[in-house]
Amino acid sequence: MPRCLLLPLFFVIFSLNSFVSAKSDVLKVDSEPVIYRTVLILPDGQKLPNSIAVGLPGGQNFAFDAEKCILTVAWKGAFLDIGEDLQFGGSGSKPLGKISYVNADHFPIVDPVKGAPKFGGYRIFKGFPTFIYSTGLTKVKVRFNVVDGKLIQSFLIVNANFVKYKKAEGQHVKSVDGAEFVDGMIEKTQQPGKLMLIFEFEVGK
Amino acid sequence: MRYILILFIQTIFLFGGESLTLTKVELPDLTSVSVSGLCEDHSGGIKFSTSHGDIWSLKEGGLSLYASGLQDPTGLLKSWREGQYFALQRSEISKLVDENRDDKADLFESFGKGWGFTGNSSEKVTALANDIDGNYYAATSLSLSADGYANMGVKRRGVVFKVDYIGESSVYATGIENVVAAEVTTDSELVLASNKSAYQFSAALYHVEEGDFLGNPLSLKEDKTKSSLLPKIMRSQGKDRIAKFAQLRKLPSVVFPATAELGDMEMDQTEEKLGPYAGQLFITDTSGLLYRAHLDKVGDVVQGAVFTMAKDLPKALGEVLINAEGQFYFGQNVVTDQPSSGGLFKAELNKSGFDLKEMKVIQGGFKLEFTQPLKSFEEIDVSIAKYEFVSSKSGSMGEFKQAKPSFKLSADKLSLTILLKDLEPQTVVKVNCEKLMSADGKPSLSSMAYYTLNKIP
Repeated sequence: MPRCLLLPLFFVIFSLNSFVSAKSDVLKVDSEPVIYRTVLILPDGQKLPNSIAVGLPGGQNFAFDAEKCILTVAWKGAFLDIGEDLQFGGSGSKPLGKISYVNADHFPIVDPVKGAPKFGGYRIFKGFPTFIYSTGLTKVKVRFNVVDGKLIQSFLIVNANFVKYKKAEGQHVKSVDGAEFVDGMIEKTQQPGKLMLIFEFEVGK
Repeated sequence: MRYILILFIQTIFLFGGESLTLTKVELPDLTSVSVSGLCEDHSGGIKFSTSHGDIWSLKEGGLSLYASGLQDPTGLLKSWREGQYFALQRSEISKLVDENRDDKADLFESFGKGWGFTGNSSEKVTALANDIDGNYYAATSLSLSADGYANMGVKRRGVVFKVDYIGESSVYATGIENVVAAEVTTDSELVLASNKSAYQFSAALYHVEEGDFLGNPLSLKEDKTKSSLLPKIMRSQGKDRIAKFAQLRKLPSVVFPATAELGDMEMDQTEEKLGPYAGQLFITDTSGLLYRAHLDKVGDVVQGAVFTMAKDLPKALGEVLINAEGQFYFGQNVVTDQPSSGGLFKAELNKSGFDLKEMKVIQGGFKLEFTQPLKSFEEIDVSIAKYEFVSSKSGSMGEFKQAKPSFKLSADKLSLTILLKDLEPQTVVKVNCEKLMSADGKPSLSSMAYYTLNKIP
């Protein structure tokens, strides 16, 4: 084949390849939570490569970022389309259903923070994951559960006497204990005899 | 816990000139799985990961799910601690811990990470291995864009990674492209199996030491001791530039035939369970071959021979494990046009056949060791090819030219000395054993041997 045809041929093949779409393959959630680590592709095309997606029974779903140590997205309805992931070698998965919360970057624990958060992993108890990370000497455990159909995110903070939590601008986050955000912030101080500080928030609309 | 009855279909396949006896392990309710990692269990069974992100426990009479939801796991290792395993995911090495001893992972600890990961499907991480000091190793592929160009903004791609026992990570070697497997030998040497790529003309085994550069210049910047050389090299042009990179690179310890497509590698550490093959490396070829290799140390250079051991195996055997009893397990990937493909095979190695066991370089030639007395050496065919990494981007293997050696058979006929004049470094010496017979008329199990000669004693 003449060399001058090779480049146009490459582009034709490449263009055809980009039109090949993956067969849909829905990861379903039954009576137990489903955890799936993946490159999450949001409806606007944004890729979240370090996502640990969790589908809870009842249709509440969310993804925790294992690099940034934050809840990045929550959605209601069906869980994930993992078709691309399976067919194209880990290309990514798409959340199904309606997105109720998005936070790609904002890290909420603003004080005391010493250095970037370091992801420690997660522990599964009765199917539900608890995410673990540290910032300096402060250890944080993040749990999720569903109460009255609402997704609740809980922070259990060890080794800190005083913590400030700041919500991302424009995000719907409501404190479960009724504490009001002041300038987007809630502060908590360690009570005598308690081992940890606890924040609980309702996430998403 | 979900247990599924396992049916072993007793269909015995004899493959590869009777080198191996294979049995397909039927796993009901788990059809068409691509096995991506294998390791021995603490309880005598095995664990295997699938490309769908699951890890399964296979024990006598039962199969159960140990963990799920992992991201493209490509390697599994047993920890010395009971109930703990290490899994290699695309963004980290994870320690999986079964805390309540129900053979199901409860804690997924992020143990080692530090390589860039943007979510691009070309960003793979492979070749999980560990040494006796508690260090873990893995190799990252380059991050490629859709048009095939390397994304240089993603850190620590194209490198061998080391994670120490407390989880601190560092770049161990650079120039990596297409690594499929790693092993740490009983002498604590790290060996990588790497497939053909832009800067490597054929599949090869590398003995890798800290600071080594294996050929692809795109990741040389990650080595702080060598990155200062880059501007000077980049100022040179064409063949001169390639020659400068070639001077920096580590030569392969073993070069495979040009058609080789390696899948995985496992070293025998069973202490004599494999009889004459004790301590050797076994390497799968996804086209249906099994190679065997042994490494030879000449001064400070590790080099050695590879033997074509078994042919006509099922295709896409990507994973290999040798358990403590010396039994082999092979993990197969799903092959698109073969509906029944994917899953596990169990195999027994023929340890009592006639075979070329070892090939070692000596002064003025090579010494071949056989498992049984050799009938005669007249049918042996020796040829030599020069290989190089400097004449083109990828280097090349020259044509094999017939050698005219002289031979000396030992009195017990178990070893044969091949004397060759004018041996040169950077050559591959091929010995065709297809027509060799034992004294009692058995054909050789291995058909070819290739010795990569980098240092002459």
